[in-house]
Order: sequence, then structure tokens, then C-alpha cells
Amino acid sequence: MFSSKSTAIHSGVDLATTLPPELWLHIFDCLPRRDVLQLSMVHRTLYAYVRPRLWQKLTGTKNDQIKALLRELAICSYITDVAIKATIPASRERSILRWRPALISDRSTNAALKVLSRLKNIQTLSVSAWSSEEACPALTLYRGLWDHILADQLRCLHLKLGSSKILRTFSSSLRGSSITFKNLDTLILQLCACPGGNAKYHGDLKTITDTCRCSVRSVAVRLMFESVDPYSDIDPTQAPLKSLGTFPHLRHFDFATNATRTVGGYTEFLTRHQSTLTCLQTTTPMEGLLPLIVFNAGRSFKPSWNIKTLNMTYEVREMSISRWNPIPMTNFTWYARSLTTLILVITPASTFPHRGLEHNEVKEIITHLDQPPNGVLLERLRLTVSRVSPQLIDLIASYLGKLHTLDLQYFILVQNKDALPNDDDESGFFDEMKLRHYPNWNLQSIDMNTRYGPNLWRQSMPSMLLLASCIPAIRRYGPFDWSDAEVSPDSS
Amino acid sequence: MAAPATQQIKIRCNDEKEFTVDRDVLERSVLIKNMLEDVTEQQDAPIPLPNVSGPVMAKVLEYCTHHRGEPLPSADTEQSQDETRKRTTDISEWDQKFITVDQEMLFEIILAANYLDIKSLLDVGCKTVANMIKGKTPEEIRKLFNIVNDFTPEEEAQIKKENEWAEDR
Repeated sequence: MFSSKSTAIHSGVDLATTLPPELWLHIFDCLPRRDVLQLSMVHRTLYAYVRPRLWQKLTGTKNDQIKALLRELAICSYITDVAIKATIPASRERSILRWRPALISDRSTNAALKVLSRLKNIQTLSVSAWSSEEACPALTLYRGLWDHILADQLRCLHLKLGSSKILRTFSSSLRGSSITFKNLDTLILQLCACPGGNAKYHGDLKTITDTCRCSVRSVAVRLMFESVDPYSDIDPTQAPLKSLGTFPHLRHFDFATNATRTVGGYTEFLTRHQSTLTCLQTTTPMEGLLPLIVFNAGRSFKPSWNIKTLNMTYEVREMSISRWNPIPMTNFTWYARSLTTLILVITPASTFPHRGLEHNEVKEIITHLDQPPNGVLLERLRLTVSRVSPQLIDLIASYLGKLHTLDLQYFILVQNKDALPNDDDESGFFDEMKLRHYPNWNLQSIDMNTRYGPNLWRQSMPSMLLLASCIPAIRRYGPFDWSDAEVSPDSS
Repeated sequence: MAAPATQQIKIRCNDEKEFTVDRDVLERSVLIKNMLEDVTEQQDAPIPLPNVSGPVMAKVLEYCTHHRGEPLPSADTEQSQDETRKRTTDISEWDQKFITVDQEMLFEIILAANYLDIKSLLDVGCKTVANMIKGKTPEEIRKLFNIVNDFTPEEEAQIKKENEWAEDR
């Protein structure tokens, strides 16, 4: 494609030696892996730049391959990130779940440990085991693991443990080894558990925190319960937060759970850490965890914890509100003072019942934001919308007139044609006539992402482009992510 | 806000060539922006830029003038845009035309953008180089950039083998 242009360039410069390494890294970022590999074969200097980058991560490859790899190439010193996963041998269940081949399985634990023992620069270790059946291979693996890892070097430990049994396996391997991670900075914990198991895994979590308590400054927790009873008085997060709450130097805390009651544990945790915390995030990673939260559909939530009553100086900068993550309006004005980013998920009940806010709820939020004298001027408003009514568009548009950045996530997810609302609602955000009514929009950039159900992308693309062309002040829009569209043409 | 926009700033390149430029145009360079913020009183002496030559600076100023007034990427947005930036090598039409220069100038511009800290221009330059490299064999890349092959045949075979490993990861 550029061959014609390249012949036009006469004066060749020895590029390999002209550009400093940091600019080469910048160029690598713009290239697909295949081209970076080609570059490494051009010149020794380039080879030296490319090589360490290629082999930083070791994950998802078969043991025998890795062994051969390490034998033949001198790359051990480059590898800093390792992901290991305990799995049961290939079975029907495994193929259904589409697991990728893993470094570790029960048949090859020893081989895997040999591999690990050759890696002397591991800084990030990701350990995962998902189902309880994997506890057996996991135990052998974890016991061996602590003999082979240089614990003092570890900076980040990422645990993805799919059940209380796996967690127990992991913590008992730690207890058995009496290992400590003196320099661990970040602990990421993704834990799936059953809410009744409170007492059971309290101790297990504490074992983990005890190994790294003094050095950890960042903790991210995803605490997902297999089933949550919104009417239960038991707060399933209380015990885990208590076990996790012993870091003396904690600065960043990111916590998400699907438990509906997070009163006691959370309040206590924040009170204990208020002198050190500089960044607090509480989010719900609903995108990836929909199957887990469907259970909550249609139930009413009782979010009664309230940062305000803690008398702290936190400022809430970013907030995401959806059906799943509701904020009581009585507190909203208080939160809103410091908001810079607001994410609203708006989908009427007929489209996606457990997810989006109803129109009257959105109305209330926008009205709060727009309150005199000045209202709340956001830096970024992200709307995830599907099928909004004309009245609501009017309301949002009047507020949008004040904003600089709109981040629009327009998605249609319709599994069932009967679920489509009537044609009047179709126009949505992308009606040209409507958009022309808002010439005063001050938007300077607009990011649009789309997520389409099968066969709908063709239908919506013209209106997306229209939106972009209708707002005169826009200087930048994108990215359009058409990757889905390309792989799923409407031929099904 | 209106007053400082018209303020004129003098700069001097390494070949003694001097330019007098509107402050807001120059401030697209984070390096110069920071310099100007450090200087409280207005100075008549030109700002020396020892790493940039006159012809290259003229090109850089052409870019800055065209993009004047556009919001500078802030630290916050940088991170979220980073991912998208990495994946795409699209260059806008004007930028594409602007950057169609001979190789020597292209690299001078990249080096200058790096030194002056003009992120968007650096991006355009690196993407252009990336586009030139894309889809080419090592031999073609050497020819394009006048690079001499300094590998022995044995080493070449070894790297080829390594890369086969690396490709399917």
C-alpha cells in the first residue's frame, strides 16, 4: 500500500541508529506483533529493542512447548509476568467452557514447576483456578510454587479463585510454606464464593493478607457471590473486608461485589483506613459478570451505606449509575459536588430489565445535575443507551449543551424481536431532525462505541455517522469499533 | 484569556534562525509551555532551542499553527486514549499531507516532536514510520531505510526460529 510512496523517498537514513530506543518503542506500539517480529530481523540494534518486549509475559501455552522454548532461547531473564492456572485434564466440560491450554495441569505440575524455577525475574504472578474440581491439581501446584518463586521480588499478586475450596487450598499452601511477600505492592483478588461460607473463608483471606500486610499499597477486590438474597440480614462482605482490612499502608482500594448489603464491613473498613487512603473506588464490573447478577433482576435494593456519615473528606469523582448500581437520590447531591465523570446506563425495562435505569430515574438525576445556580459541570458524561424516548432526549440534550465531552455507548442488545419497543421509540438519539434542534451544543469530542445484536449493525451505522455530522462543534469523534460488524455479517 | 493569545514569542534554532510566533501556537509544545510558565516577566531575548534546526522548526510550526486551539491531551484522557491510539495507524488527511516529506525530514520532525514534547505530532510521525514498515519483509525494510544487515546467516536462522515461537503467542 505504501510501496509507491517509499520509492519517492530518496535519501535513505540509517533508521536503526538514528532514532533513540524510546521512539522505537513508540513505533512498536503502532504495529501488529507480526511486523514487530519482522523488524527484529532487520538489524542487531532493533533485535535488542524488540526481544525483551516479546517475552515479558508467559501465559496460556503448553508445558512441553514452554520447556523447549526456554531450552532453546535465552529468554528467562526477560519474563516478568507469569500466569499459571490449575486445570483438570481435557474433558467435555472443559471444551464447553473453552478454556485455553494452560501452563499447569495435574499431569504436568512437576514440569511446570521446573519451568518456574528457571524464571528469576517474576514480578507479577497471576494464579487462577476456577472450579472446585481443580483443587487437587492446584494443591500440588501451590505447594511447589512457593519453593520456586523468589518471594521478595514479587510486586503484584493476582488471584482468581473460583470457589471457597480453591481459596482454602491456596491459603493452606501459604500456611505450610510460611512464605512472606516482603515487597508486594499490589494485591488483586477475584473471588467467587457462596455467601453462607463467611466464617469459612475469613481465616483463609487473613492468611493471604498476613503474608504481605506490611508492604501492600493497592488492593483490588472482586467479591462475587454465587447467589445473593437481597432480603437476608447477613452481610456477606463483612468478614472478608475484616480479613482484608489490616494493611497499614493502604493507599488505593478498589472494591466491587454483587452483594446487596455492604453496610457493616465497608463502613468499618473505610473508617480504619481513612488516614492512608488516597484513592477509593467502588464499582460493579457488571459487563463481565452479567450471568452472576441476573438473579437480582427486578428485586429492590437497599443500599444503605453512606460515605457521608463517615465524616470523611473523600471526593467522589467518577460514578456509574445503573439498575444494578443504584444511588439513592438523597445522597446524590452530596456526591455530585465533586463529580467529574458520570456514567448512566439507560435502557427501558422492555429491552434489558435488570440493567438500565428507567426514564423517570434518569430524569431525576439530570434534574439534580442541572440544579441552579450552577449545577454540576461534568468533564465526561458517558451514556449507555438503547431506545430512549423523545422526552428524555430533550432533557439530556439540554444538559449536554453545557458539556465538552460526551462518551456515548450506544448499544442494541435484542435477543428477541418481540422485545423491540414500538417504532416511535426507534428514532432515539440518532434522529437527524432532533439533533438539528441543538445547535448550541459545545461538544468538542465524542466517543462512540457500539455493541450490536446480530444483524442490526447495518441498520444503525448510517444514523451513527449522521450524529457525528450533525454536531458542528465536534472536533473529534471515534473510535468506531466495527470489529463486531466485520465478523458477523447479516447472513445468519 | 484573550490577551495572552496575541502575545508574540521569539525562538532561536541551532542554526541561528529566529522565529516570532503567537504564544498559543508555541504552547502546543509542552516543553516551551513549561518554559514560558517559569518566566514571569516578558523577555525580549529569544528562547534558544539547541536541538532543532530552522527548516525543521518551520515544519513544526506549520503543524502547530494548523492545530492551534485544539484541546491538548490531558493526563486523564491520555490513559484511556492510549489503547485506541495503539491499535490504529489512521492519520487525518491534513496530517498525512503534512508528513509526506523525505525520510531525513521525517526523522528530524519525530526527534523534534519528542524534544519539544508535542505528543500529537510525535504520534503522527511514529504512525507514518509504522505505516511504511507494515507488511514488509526484513529485506524490504532494510532497503527502505538504508540499513545494512549485520546478522550472520546462522544468527538469522536462529532469530527466525525464535520468531516462530513468538508468532503464535
